[in-house]
Amino acid sequence: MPTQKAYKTGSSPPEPPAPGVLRLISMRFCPFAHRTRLVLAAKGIEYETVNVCTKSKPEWFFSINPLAKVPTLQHDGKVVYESLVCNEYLDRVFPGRKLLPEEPLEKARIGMLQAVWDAKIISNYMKTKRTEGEERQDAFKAFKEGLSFLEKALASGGKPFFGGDEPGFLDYSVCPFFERFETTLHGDLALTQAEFPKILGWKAAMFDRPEVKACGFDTATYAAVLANYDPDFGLSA
Amino acid sequence: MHCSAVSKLPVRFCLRSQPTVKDMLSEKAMKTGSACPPPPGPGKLRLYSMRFCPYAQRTRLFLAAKGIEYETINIHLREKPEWFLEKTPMGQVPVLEKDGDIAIVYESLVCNEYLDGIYPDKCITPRDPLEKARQSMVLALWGAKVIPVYYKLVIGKDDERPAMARQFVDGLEYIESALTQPFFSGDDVGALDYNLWPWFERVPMLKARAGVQMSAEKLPKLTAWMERMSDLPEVKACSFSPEIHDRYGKTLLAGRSEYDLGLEE
Repeated sequence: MPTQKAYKTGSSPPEPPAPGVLRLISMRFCPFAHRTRLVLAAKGIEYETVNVCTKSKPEWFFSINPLAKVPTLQHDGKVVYESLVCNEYLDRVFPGRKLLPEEPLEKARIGMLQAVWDAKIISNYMKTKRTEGEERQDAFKAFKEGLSFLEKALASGGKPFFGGDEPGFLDYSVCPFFERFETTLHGDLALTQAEFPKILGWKAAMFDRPEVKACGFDTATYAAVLANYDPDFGLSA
Repeated sequence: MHCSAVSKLPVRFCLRSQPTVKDMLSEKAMKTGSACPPPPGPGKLRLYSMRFCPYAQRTRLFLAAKGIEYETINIHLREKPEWFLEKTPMGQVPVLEKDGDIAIVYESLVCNEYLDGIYPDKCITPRDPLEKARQSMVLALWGAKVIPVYYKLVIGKDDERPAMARQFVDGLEYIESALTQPFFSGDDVGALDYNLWPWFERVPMLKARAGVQMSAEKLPKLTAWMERMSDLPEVKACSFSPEIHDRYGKTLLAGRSEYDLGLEE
């Protein structure tokens, strides 16, 4: 597809991907699709992108994925969706660095940290964005309590990344959100070196990775799109 | 990530107060203020559960299907023991504990994959990456379309129930279309079947007590699958009778679930 512009409601469907071609249905600023873009980059997998508007979804998208959510992968008639399902599928089917451990307990630890992320970390972060005053401080405190599990995991692992010497499955799962946290975690919502030395070290190391830089945007862009949804923000007319 | 890495208290704290042998053999749900049970012995597997929890039933089904020996400690989910919250920040069942609590695993689907990892013979989790992805996507649909409605249906207000009951059946239609073979996993029962089953076991109770109308005409494949599943020995081993489900369902819908229902005094 020559254009990155997002397909909207009422659009005609794109041609299906050619045989052997991996297609990612995405939205440039979606953090969930971002997880999959990171894994594709980390493993050096070739693919083409079709962007869709996630607020005015094209009707043709529902016939590919009944939930019509990004990311969605299409590959020789196969369809895979749900960001972490996509990521596990890519990790197992394509060559390159393995992002998921084989050892059952290590693999389980990733699943458990992901559950803590969903239940305690991201939920409370979102709460800090829509509350004020004492309620916001309480949400921030709960957010930090959740983050302490990630901090402890890094501390007991003794390596720069959750995946060890290089980023793995969990690193790419949480990185898109940490990039977006930069828009609001300042001042009274700052994460301090005293409280989160490992996470702050991890963040610096992750943000320095070439694949992370290639897939991300600057904080000002994230802030602009979070304030005013525009899937085509920054693209020339 | 060891238990001690996530607990605020050191693991050894648990050993100071030993429950009696009678307590250990009881199925009664352990509450706030109870003594922390000693860890399972070396090589032993323990499941923290609640007899009527559908998520814990997913793991009990895998354990039964794989023929794994284990001990159970049931947890009172409204008055959770403090020591339980030290083991899992999520404070939910199921939780697996192995080898004197070196290994603590929580989240039902994580537990189930972990069991296949440590007991690799009779592997239930699909080995083929695309099939595993397909099963995960159906579970994602189930988690998005049906489970939240189930909870609104059982915990919600009486006047909201008719709408929730209709929405529950609408959700089942998504799953009906995913059932293209005798079982969700193909010709034989597999991971997806076990991971979906617990909510279906509760359908007769939902029909009787929550106004759910699930007909064989509207959902023929699911109806036939439910009969097939009910006949499996591992499903029977983990199930309660419709009468017990109905009695428990009454307490659940009233907001006072009786976790020890059916146990002798």
